[in-house]
Amino acid sequence: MQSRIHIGAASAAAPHSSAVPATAVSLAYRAAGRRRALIVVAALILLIVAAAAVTVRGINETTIGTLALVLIEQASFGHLSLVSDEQSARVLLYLRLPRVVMAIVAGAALSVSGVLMQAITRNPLVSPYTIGVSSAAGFGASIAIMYGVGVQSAGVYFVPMSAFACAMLCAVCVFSLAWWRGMGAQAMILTGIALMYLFSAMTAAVQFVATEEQLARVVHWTFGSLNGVQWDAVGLCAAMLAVILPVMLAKGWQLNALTVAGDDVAQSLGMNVRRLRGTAILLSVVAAAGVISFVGVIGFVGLIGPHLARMIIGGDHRLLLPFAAICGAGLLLAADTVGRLAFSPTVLPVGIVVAFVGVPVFLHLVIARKRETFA
Amino acid sequence: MTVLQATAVRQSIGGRTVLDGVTLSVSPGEIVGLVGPNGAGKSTLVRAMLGLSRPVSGDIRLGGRDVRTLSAQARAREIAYVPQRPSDGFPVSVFDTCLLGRTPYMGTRPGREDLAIVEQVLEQLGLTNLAFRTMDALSGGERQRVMLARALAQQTPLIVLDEPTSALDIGNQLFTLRFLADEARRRGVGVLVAIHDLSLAARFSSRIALLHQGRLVAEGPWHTALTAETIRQTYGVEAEFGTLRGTPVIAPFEAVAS
Repeated sequence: MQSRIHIGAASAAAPHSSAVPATAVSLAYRAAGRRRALIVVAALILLIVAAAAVTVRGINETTIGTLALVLIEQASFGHLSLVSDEQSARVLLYLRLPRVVMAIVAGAALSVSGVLMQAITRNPLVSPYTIGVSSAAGFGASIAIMYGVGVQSAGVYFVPMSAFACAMLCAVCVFSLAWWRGMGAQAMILTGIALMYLFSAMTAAVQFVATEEQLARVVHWTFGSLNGVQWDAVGLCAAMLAVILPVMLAKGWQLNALTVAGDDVAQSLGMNVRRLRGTAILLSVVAAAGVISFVGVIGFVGLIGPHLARMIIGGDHRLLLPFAAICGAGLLLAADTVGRLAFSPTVLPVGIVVAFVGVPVFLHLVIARKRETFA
Repeated sequence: MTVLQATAVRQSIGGRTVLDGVTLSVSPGEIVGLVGPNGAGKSTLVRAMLGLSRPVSGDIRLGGRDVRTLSAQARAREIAYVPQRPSDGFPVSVFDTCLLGRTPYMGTRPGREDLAIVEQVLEQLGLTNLAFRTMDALSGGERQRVMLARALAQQTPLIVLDEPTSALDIGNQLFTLRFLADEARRRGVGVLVAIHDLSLAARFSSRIALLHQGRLVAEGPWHTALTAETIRQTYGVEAEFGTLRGTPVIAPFEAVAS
């Protein structure tokens, strides 16, 4: 048995020289991999079905059939005209669908961002929220709402752009400080928390001098809301996710090495750890800041999405990244649906509901698992 | 033919000289025990060999080739590394963790051969039953064993270990060193192991390299490298020597004022 392994200079030169038959453990490994991939696919299908089901619910109830017709109509670029009920079609197309798709995209992006941040710091407490990105975006949006009213030329993107700029500024502060102090997760979290308080205080200061109307908008923004989401915002965020997720998925194996074996071992395996870290940091911050800039502060998803996913599917990033995206999307979709329907016609901001939905789920998972683990 | 040849390696960190012209070699089938007090430069030397840090001057050759000219992947096929303590706790399976060792050959998609090699390494180290447990569910000793398995799966002519036993209980310490000694003898792997326990070092090493303040103070078979004199000079300790069933026992007895 043991003689079949050749360790030494000869085998290092020709590593695939000997053909070895796969046996029980290898087969079990393949089977386990397929099983978990199946879970990811099943979860994705479930998410799509659930999304369709909640899209037709609301003040103006329609049917799945109408939704399907609307989608087919759109897919045909106006060549077909199938829906007779004009109002339902408009509600679906311009109110429900952008909202539901945004919930999915935003939840997925925040969750992926959380997975990346936790992987590169090897710390379960790091998330877009805990490194201060969320409250920085909140501050950026606040000053834009306060002082941007006169700046007509900047248009509808002024508030998101300001939020994004502040979020990136905060991330640069946190990561460059952590870099300077040797990339310790602790330095990063403490800096992040300090900046979180600073930006919260500055937001409060802005609120203090705000007019009634401005104050309402600022507060509404900091709750995080999917009200009035437009297709262009959805498109931007979706495009961002469509780039970030595949790029990082290709680096899933390297992320595994980084999390389970550490920087030195990853490097000794021939990986470029600096580039891996740089890419992961940049993309995770852009994902979080981009989404938060449009929908406001919904930071909790970035913390709970990765944990939920890791508990169900494990820490293999090749599967964890897509599955965390699905978990985050499902979580935010569920929260927004509850917010829409629970006290209809009043719509609760999703940022509030996500805490009410997420915390019990999270606590259950923590308590249900007896051992203390990373996940 | 050496698997590792380091010549006159100098390294300074923050202006302080940490390695001062260290020359050291490892041949196939040999276990070299790297000993010396804290701060002697053991870890720095190990890191320089792995290409994790670049020496100020000196020459490091792996399998006869200059480490600076090797690509990261080529280097990963020459030298495998076991760190002092494995990170605790991401829920990645033991099998996947070992499979990381195949990265220099497979990239990110394991072939049948890669799986078979991991399977055999796991069996060798008695980890088959734990193959699908996750790393966060293992004890410290089991986790270190997995890291050893991962290094073996890398199938390199040289394995470098940085105090692999310092976080282990005595049973796991003995297991690890006995295993390495067998690997070296049976398959001709060269092993460089930084280690604190002088008795274990003396018992399992073919040669001892004693490092002190960045310099190689003594080198050779344990009974010439580790003497009352060299131990007093480097550790500031009076040590008692004895044998137990033919194996050397070196007991630190009294700290001497330096």
